Amino acid sequence: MKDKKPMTETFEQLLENNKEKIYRICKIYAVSPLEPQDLFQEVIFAIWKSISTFKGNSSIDTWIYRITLNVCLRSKQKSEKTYNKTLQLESIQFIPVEIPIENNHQEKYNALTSCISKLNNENKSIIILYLEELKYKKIAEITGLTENHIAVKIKRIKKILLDCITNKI
Amino acid sequence: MKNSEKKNIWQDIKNTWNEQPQSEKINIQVSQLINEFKSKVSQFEKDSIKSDIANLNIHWNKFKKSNKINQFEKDLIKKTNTQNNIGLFIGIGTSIGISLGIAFGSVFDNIGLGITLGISFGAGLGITLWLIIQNYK
Repeated sequence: MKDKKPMTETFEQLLENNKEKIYRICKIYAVSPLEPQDLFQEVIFAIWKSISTFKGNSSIDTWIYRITLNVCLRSKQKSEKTYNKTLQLESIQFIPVEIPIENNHQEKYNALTSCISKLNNENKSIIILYLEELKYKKIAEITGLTENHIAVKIKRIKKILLDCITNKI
Repeated sequence: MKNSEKKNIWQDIKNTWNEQPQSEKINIQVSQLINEFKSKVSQFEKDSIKSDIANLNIHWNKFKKSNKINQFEKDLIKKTNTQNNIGLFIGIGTSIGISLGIAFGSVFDNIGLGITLGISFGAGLGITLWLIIQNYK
């Protein structure tokens, strides 16, 4: 019982430090009828359930990315039937924010996400982790592939993505 | 395209990804969230237990209706019956006794006496074996 408070604090810190990047990934994987917000809640629930099993064998970042990608990939299997069973948490609120209109940036972002969405699941995960500025070693750790394999794949994905973005902008 | 150009383009793409427009601010009430999680987990556990009990009831009712006894139980009953059957032991003992009686009777030229003694000895042997097994059970 005496560990309860530090655990809550750790969890709070963990969410505060990682919520933006988790949401960035959820936005890519959320496919109708599942919304990014629903997926985000599923990821947070998965993190909470497994935080006690985190042994520190990998960095906390690596662990968070792994859980996020696992939950997001699993969500693809969710059908309309199971959609109703997604978590509805009142303690997580998404407050709309007015964003300054920067057409160029928004256009680039839309093109990028649209092109990433066209990739297969494995390539999608790899390029997301690359865009998150993770080293090849960490990407290999998360995906379970070798560093060399990651390097080859990233080179190929970058070419596909660049062609796609160039056509869109 | 030159390598430096490519590098710049990819840096730009990375910036686009990492500085993506935040259309929503995520607000998390952690202590309330943990309570919500706990209530969801316990509800989940309750549902699981309910479904397990329902499953058990269905299978138990089917089992009772079909009145089926599995092979293990059948073998066990057979084994127990064999051990309990004193007649079987006397029978086996008697057969051994008769065989021995015939053998000794032939040697001493009195098969009748040999068989009679063999039956008595065999029956005694069977009962003794049965008693020994009963004590070891």
